[in-house]
Amino acid sequence: MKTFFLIFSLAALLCIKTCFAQNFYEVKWTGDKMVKYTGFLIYNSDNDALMRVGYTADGVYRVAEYKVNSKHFTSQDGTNYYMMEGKDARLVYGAAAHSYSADKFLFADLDATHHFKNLFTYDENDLKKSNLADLMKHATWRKLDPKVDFNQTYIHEFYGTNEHNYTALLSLVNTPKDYSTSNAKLYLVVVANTLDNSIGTGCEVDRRKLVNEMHSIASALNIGIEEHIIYGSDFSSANVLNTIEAMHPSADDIVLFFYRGHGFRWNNQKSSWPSMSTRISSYDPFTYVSLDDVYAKIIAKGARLNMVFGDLCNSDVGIDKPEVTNQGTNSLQSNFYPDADKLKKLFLRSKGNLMSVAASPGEVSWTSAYDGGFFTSSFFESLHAEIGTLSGSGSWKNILISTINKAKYKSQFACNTCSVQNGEYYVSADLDNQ
Amino acid sequence: MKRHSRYVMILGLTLLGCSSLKNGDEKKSSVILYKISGMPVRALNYKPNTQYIDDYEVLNTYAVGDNASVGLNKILSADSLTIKDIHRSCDFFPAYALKWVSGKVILISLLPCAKIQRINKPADGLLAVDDIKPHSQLENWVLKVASATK
Repeated sequence: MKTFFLIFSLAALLCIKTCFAQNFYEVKWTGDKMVKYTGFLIYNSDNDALMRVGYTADGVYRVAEYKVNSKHFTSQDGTNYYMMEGKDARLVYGAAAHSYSADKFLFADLDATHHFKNLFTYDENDLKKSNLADLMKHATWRKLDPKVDFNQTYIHEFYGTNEHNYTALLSLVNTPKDYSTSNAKLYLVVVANTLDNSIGTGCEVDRRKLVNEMHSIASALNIGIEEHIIYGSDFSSANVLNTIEAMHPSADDIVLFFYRGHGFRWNNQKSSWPSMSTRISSYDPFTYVSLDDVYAKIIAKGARLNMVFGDLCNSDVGIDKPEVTNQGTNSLQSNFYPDADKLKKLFLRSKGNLMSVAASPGEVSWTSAYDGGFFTSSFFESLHAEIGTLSGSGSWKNILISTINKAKYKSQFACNTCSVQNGEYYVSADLDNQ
Repeated sequence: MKRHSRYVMILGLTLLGCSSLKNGDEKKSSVILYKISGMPVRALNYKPNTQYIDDYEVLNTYAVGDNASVGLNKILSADSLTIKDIHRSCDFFPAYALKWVSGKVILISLLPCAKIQRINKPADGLLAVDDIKPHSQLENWVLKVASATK
């Protein structure tokens, strides 16, 4: 119950939740004729979740399935809610002549710590017969721990023994698979504007997540990690360039560069990629480093896999580029369940270069003070989904496309007033065919 | 006698001042809109004969009439002006400043990076910058006042 706030409480403050992908939740409620329903939710992100509902009606045990889309919204009186809407329901097991109407769930009543206290469910079809207040049924929820809650009997309430998910879910009960060692090393460069007086808090959230996640991945793969975390008062273009200059990855290594901070583009700029604004104080000279430069410098190092990410705005700064230029949790294992082969494919067998940013030319990117950047949180959701036991194939291109789609979804539906952000991505031919 | 006449003169000036206030001049001049440069400079780098608002160079000054002033107060007091806890990842380069006779200053940048920073006194340190909603009433107000007094 307590951990569920990670998913649903922060949304209360205005949008994006902390979405540790591929989590499992159980929802229970009692419907008409005292029918007891138990829902099993596989949650990847707001627009990527699957519910199976087990219940007995007319003496027959049935299982229904539907997709779930979620969003935060604020009523006219300023009250915050979080809505999970089921759609495209189908009866998977049980009498074929019956049908199932996808459920709607409404999280309500924030407490002092911004956690929702109550969950209600209703059937939209019944709205024709009665008003919403009469239809609301109280429900309970809890986060499931596969190691504790999963067993054959429990999973079989929702999945047949011949289904892939039955086997995959039960595999989570066991300890993580053994990973073979590799000589590859992960060079992690995180640049985060954590002192900024608007986005600094969100950048700090992302900085911690990035470091924790990448350490967990390196640990899971049993590879070395060399981290360069540029944040706080060290945040500067000189430190960014010097850090890249000082890195000497070998031909089998991985370089992951991730920028979290302000960004912009020049009025007369041709490139789609924005520049990172690297000043801390408004009194500081306007310094910057273009992501084009970062990308070029990093791939010139010759590592096997080079990745450049930027969660920053790509909007016009209002001036032309001058002729002379100067040059921002929880551990991995506790929150998602990586498939060994997919993880190895992504980090140990992939070769090539990629770059992705949060916003297309002219657009701003959005960040939450509590959950970090829409793009960055979406990157984690997509990465987790791509290497999850139940989903994904271990493709960087899929991760980038999913990241951009999820961030766009958040800007459209998780934030009442945000403009839409469409990200940009590029993958080299090697990764395009992955 | 000489001392008496000085008191009369002071009293007269005071009454004159009160009379001005009654006529609404205080209201008219209680807030001024300035077009400012986007980046602040420290006082030691001020250019001579140049006006600054909280270290931002003033590029233009716009008179704010009574009606506009009342409208501004409504806009600024509305909860719906800013976006709570969500920010755009773009630098704050204010284009306009509002300054009240009380000393309060609000710095404003417009779309695509619409933000405001409220400064209650010059000694305030690191102040939060809040994002304002796209095409807000404040943005419309600023552009309307600025264009009306060109």
